[in-house]
Amino acid sequence: MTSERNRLYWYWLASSTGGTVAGARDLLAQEMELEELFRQARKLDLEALGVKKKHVEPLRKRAEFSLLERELDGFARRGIRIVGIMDKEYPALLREIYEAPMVLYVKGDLFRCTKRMVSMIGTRRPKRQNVAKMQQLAKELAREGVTVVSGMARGLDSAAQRGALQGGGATVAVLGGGVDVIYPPENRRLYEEIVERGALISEAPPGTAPRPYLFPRRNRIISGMSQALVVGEGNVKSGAAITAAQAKEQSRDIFALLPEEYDPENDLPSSLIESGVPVVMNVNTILRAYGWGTAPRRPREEESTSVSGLDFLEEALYNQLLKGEKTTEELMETLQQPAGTISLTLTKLELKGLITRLPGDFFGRKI
Amino acid sequence: MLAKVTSCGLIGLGGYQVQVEVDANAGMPYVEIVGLADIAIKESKERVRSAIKNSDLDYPLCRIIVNLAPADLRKEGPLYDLPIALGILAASGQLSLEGLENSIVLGELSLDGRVRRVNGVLPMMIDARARGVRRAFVPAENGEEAAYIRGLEVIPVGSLRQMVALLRGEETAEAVRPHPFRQEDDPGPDADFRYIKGQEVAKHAVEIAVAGGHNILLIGPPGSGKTMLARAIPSILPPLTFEEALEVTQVHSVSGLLKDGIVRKRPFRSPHHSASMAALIGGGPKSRPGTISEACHGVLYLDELTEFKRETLEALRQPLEDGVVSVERVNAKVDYPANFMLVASMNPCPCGYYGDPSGKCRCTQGQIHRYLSKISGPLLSRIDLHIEVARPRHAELNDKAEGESSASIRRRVEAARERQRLRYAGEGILTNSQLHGGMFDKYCALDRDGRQMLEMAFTRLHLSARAYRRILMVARTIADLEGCEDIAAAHVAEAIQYRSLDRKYWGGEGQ
Repeated sequence: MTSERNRLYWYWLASSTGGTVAGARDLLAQEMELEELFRQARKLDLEALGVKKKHVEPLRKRAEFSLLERELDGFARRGIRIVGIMDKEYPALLREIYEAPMVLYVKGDLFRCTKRMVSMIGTRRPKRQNVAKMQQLAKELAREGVTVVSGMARGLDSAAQRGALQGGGATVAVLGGGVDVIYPPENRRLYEEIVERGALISEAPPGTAPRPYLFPRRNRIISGMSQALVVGEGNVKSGAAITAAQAKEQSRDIFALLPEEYDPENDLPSSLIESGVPVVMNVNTILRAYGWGTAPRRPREEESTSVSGLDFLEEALYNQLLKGEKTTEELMETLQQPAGTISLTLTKLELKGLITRLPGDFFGRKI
Repeated sequence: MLAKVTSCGLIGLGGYQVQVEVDANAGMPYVEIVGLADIAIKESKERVRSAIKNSDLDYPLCRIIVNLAPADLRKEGPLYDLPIALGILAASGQLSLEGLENSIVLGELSLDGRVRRVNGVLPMMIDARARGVRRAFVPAENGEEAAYIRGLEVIPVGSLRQMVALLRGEETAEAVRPHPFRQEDDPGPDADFRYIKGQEVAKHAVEIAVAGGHNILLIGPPGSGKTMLARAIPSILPPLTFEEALEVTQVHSVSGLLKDGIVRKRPFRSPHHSASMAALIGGGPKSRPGTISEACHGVLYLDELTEFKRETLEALRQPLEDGVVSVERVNAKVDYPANFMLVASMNPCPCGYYGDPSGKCRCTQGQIHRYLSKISGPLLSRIDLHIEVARPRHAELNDKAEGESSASIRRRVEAARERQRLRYAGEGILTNSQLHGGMFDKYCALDRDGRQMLEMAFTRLHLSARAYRRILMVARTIADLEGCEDIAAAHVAEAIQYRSLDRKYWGGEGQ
């Protein structure tokens, strides 16, 4: 039996039932090849084999080669492939979770994933400092050959995936709706880049609109794909909390980003840390935990000495920004320079690609 | 018997002569006023009757016809009370009007015979002088305002009784002598830059805006001091010249804003965002000047710019371009001056806290994008500087000594304005903000470094195309403030920082 065929059977089973292994457990427990099941579907007493009543009809009706092939061809024309649970491309760790999806709809290529996988999640409305931290962490992980898994949601998810791409790594976005539905819409460019350099996956058939109830289910796939889950920011009642709980159930390792100050909007990391979850200080926290070595000290932008060609004031200002984001006003005060001079220096640094302007008259080091 | 008194009328800021003709005939006691008079004039017969009676004069018992000529122009307001009263007295033989040759008379009467102030006196006097009128009898309270017109003898009138005494020669007329015109220098405690703590960047940007005649948009969270900054701007504008003052005073006179004599301070007007188009631009059934004309030669401050109705903002484009606004209505087309500096402010996002370090903002990029798109591109392109104003920190509010005073900032502004005036002599423009067409090449030439910087800014910072000329203009002004004839790379670099809204983080895709 070719794997092509096999995939078709899995697709049949997934698309006619709830889609998870757990949902079809009784059926899969039968001493019967999937192929045989498929051929006999119309004759067998499926209900006696443990199939739920509502799935019997679809299973019978859809047990037809030409129909399934036509559907798969339709997906292929839109650049969407099916990866079945027994396929090599299917993420190994995901296969082990209780409610593993029987098939994944994929845009891009899951073979691009490396063995080192880290899932990163957070809130859709993050604080700016956390966006920077998350992006930086993902970038450095990617440089060490880690594939970052996230949900491409607004906020920290997107920040993590952008960071991974900047670090030259692959990244997987697990979507709640169909893989052909770009949500949120402002992430179109990110979406396209992930198709090019990583993979977009979903258990929902193509065309599925991103409905709220899909996301908590989607989260179990994000945590299920990697051994490590990094929680950036979130509320104890948020989706991130659901993901963290699922990760625990799946016996994954959880890491939390250290919150800068107490913030009722962002109490998930602190409550996780309280319960014994390790704090991510930097990329090495994760690398060491898995024996992936440590990141070499790179001649990074952080070390001002390695940035050459700066005049005195540029260097002084840049060093100030290394300590954190600052407003023009604050820079004027620390450097004792008039507004015009500071503006000039900021523009020069900005044009050199070293710093970036942020909303609210803030400037920060470019990540 | 027929009596004639000359008075004045107004269309927009243009005056015209009105002949008040009164004829008294035998018949049933009755008064009729003809000549396209509005309700205020129709009602004047009651005021006139009481005023005459209460001034120890006799109200004639006969048939009285009042005609306001020319009969085809609509007349409005109560300013014809006094001329009508004089006409009635003359027509009934109680008074001779010989003393009114070459004179005009205007004023509203109170029931006890006192003369009350009326609106629009200054433009009427300007017109009267142009027509060769020698004397004007105006309400005492309007005397100061009217007296600034040279070559016109202004006689203040306090009451009908006094007016009659003047004409009978029982009293001698004493013309008002105007105070010499002087700009009022003290901006007052709430509008001096010295009291604005911190905000050095914003203050500097405002200084540049004023120096080059640029419009400016302040973006910041609530409580960041945007309104305070805007209120202080008139105090660093160059002093009002007499000609400018006269122009503003005319508008204020017509809209009834005038308090004493002549406007001595650059006006600051901040209409509420619920203002109607007619209120802001001018118009209404009487084609009145709008707030933008009242702000002429001063500052028009639009707080919460995004809350204004879109069509109201769009209507600002033409006056911003021309410095004059044409108000066209069914019965008249009127031009009002509208040469103001636009200062606008807004929040960075619907909740107001985008970019604030408190991290309160939970607006999505989509929401921010929708919020900002309420301001149209064409309007935005008339605003040369947009800057973000952060909330001052507590330490700043408590500790710091006073800032630089408005007077000292104004000296720099004036020097920069003078440079521009000399440079653009013969070009028909006064400030950098008015540069257009070929003048850019002539006056905003960049050296190699400057050009390189600007090009790099466009590719690296993704500035929009419309930003290009704006940056050049602002760089020109920064150079002028520093007393440099050539624009250097440093000036360009600074100007780039004042184009905040061109940055991609505004409602675009994140970094």
